[in-house]
Amino acid sequence: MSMEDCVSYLLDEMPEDERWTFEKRLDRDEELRKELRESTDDLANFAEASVVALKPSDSVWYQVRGQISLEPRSEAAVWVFPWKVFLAVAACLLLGLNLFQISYWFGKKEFVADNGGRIESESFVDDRLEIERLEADESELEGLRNQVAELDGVLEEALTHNGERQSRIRKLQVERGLLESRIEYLERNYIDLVELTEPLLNSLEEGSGSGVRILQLVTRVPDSSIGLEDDVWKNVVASLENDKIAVLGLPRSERFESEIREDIQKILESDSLYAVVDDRVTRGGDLLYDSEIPTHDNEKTGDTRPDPLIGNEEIENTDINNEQINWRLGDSDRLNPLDPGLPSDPNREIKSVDGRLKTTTGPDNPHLGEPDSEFDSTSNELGDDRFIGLDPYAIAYVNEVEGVGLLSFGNLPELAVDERMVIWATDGDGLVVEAIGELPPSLGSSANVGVRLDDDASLGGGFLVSVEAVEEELPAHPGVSILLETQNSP
Amino acid sequence: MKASIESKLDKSVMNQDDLLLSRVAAGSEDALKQLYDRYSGLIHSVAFKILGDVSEAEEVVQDVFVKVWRIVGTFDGRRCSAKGWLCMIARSGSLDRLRKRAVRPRLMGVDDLDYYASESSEGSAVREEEEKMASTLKEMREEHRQCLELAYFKGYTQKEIAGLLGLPIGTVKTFMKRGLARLRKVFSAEGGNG
Repeated sequence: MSMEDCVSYLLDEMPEDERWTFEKRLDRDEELRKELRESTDDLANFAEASVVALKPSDSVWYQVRGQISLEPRSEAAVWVFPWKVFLAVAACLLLGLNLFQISYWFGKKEFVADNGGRIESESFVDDRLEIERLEADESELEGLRNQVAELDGVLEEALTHNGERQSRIRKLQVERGLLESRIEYLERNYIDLVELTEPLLNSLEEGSGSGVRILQLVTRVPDSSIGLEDDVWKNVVASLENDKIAVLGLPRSERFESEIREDIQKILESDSLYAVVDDRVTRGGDLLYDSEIPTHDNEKTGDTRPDPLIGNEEIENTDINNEQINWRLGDSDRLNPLDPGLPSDPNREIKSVDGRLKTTTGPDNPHLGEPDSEFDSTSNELGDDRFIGLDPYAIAYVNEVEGVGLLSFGNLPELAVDERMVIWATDGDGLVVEAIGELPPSLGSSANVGVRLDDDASLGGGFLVSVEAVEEELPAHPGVSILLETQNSP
Repeated sequence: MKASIESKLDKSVMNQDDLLLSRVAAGSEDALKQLYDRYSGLIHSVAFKILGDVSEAEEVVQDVFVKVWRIVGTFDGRRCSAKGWLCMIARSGSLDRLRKRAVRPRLMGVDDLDYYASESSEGSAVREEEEKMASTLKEMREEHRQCLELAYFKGYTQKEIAGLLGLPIGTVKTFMKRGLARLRKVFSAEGGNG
């Protein structure tokens, strides 16, 4: 080895194997090391001689100084197992594991569930509990649905009942309306009657109406509602006793019946008798026309209200069943206001009353003043036995009337179950010409019946009406037969 | 560390540089600073000669002294001097940077050295030293110097130099050997640098 080898070694031109051999020799060959040192100096000297001396900037040293403060020393260059790093990493791992384990222990404690010996984690149990809770919710929901269904049923039933109730209420309202209408009508009648009666009574008391007798049909209004039981009737009786006035009525009580019977008898025996039939007045069997009627018309009373006895158009126009109204407030109402069902055929047209119905008789009536026996002795084809229970004030004389009139009968005989009351019409001579109807057996001892007079030659000149109890089969609709239809009176 | 380095130093050849390295090995930043002041210029010059770039040469200087701080424990004073060791580190680092380049810088000639000498010399003493070094180098035969420069500053292998100069590789080796021997003789006669 020589300088040539050392230069080759220093300039990194020596092959790897020779280099290894050369370094081994350096370890034991001091002369070689010396030669290598001198060769190193030679190259350094050559370099120094070959270059121009330059100086780096001052910042280079500070950069060196800054770097060496961070660079490990040569001794530290020897790799040392990084215990600190290892321990730090291990500590972090252990800490992380512990934290994970702790969180796991706190959040997911495992336990042995008493469930057939199976070991379940809490998460499974949680799931199972969640399922159970959902099932419970579903069960509760099903229960609630059932409750809702039950409530729906109750509600439906309630609605049904409510519908029925509403229907019933509606029906009651209709009935109430009818009753109210009836009450209104009756009250108006009462007022009319009072207003009608009072001036007459006053005039009689004053003597201005001396010799005037008035018969008032008041039977369409219950006595209790018109208050005629005491004061009025007493006045009437008093008037009759004074030969001033008579009010023909058909009170319900026997007491009044007897009183009226006497009153009527007095009227019949008087020379001049006025009877009020509806709101018309007749005198001695002759119709007194409007100018002559001493009633509560406008001229005398100033009352402009509709005639309650003819009908009330306003009431007729209400929403209440028109048929019923027609029957009740129209002509049929005059037939029997207490029994609207009396005319069984509501479709049968009944024109409004024209008010030409006479009651009682005058002296020209051969039957007047001869009750019962007079009729019984009448020679007619029907025989005397047909006229039974004839009461003087139960005889209606109709002359030149057209339309429907109201007949009042009292003191009627009690009928057996198989009997019926037949109404007979007689001619002006008292002869029975035709049976004009029959009374329903339920009327009792008195009745108001309506008659409709049509054109019947046999009835010309007027006729009388009486009743008879006939032993025949009861009709299905007894009220119908009381109507007598005529076209015109000749 | 200091003891281990001193144990590697040949007492006969141990000089002040070796002592500085010994102190650096002991952790003396001040010793490193002294070493830096003494050789940073040489290192920077060698790097500049190889790289031809001042900034990059400064980076080489920085790298050399940081590396010295790190591997001073591997320094064996019996095999090389501090100056030679530092120059070898600088040359190696510069050549690494040079090999990363695609184009090698132009090889400087003697005229270039004159130019650099005239540009960067400071003071008459330094200038005289540089002139002495330059005159020493001029005493070398051109072919010797050229082979050494190609090998030392350009990193060419002797085979490559032979190919480059059209000489047998043995001739190249001989030239390089005779050139270095000439320098050693000159420096020895002048008392060397130590």
